[in-house]
Amino acid sequence: MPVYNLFYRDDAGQVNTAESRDRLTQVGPTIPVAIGLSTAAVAMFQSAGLTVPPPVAGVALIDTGASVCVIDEAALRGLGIMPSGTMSIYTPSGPSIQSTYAASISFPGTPLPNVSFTDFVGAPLHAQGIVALIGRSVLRQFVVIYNGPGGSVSVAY
Amino acid sequence: MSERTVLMPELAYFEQHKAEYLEAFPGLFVLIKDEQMMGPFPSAEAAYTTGINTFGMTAFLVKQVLEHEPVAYVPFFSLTRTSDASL
Repeated sequence: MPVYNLFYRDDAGQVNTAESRDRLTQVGPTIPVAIGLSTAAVAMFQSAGLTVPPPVAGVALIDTGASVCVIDEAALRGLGIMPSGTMSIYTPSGPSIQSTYAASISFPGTPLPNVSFTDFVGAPLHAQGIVALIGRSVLRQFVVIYNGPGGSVSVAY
Repeated sequence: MSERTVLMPELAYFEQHKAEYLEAFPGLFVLIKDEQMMGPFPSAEAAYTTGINTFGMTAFLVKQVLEHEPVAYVPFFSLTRTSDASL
């Protein structure tokens, strides 16, 4: 089973210290991602002889509290991805109808496979320092271990 | 319910015709651009592929024909102002 392990480090670069554990608490479980066009959009670009825009790299926060995945709208805008659906979303501040987008997420530097969906939710995430929120619609394919005492996160496929 | 999408015209068109879609092809997917409906399709991916090949990188609506809309939960949104990438 391919496994990705992320050990949080303290300022001295050490793992499994009180400071490294604090870092996991502060930052949360994250994973490197690259946001790209959907498979269908890539095929359309290639058949038209157009250059496929390069993926937008960044960090995603793993959020088991979210039932769906969210992508930073600036990344979507940069890739030229427009809305292709809507979704009713309940939040603590009330219900809303949000646009959804077709896109793909890859996990560079990890053995995890790409995922492609037609219903990623778009929202401004950049201020939080992340480009995506990985919710349960993607996590249903993975095993995630949050090691608080060890200051690490493991994701297996 | 607040609405944060540029697809409100397509969504309104879907709601206008939802009863007839439910009768004709419940559970399948339709593709709507302005006031034009295409489909039905067996999956969202099939509808999206037709949409991207027909309309290019523009906004269009892919919608499953269901009586009750599924609801997603994103508690993180309580801390993040949501908006629409195309606004």
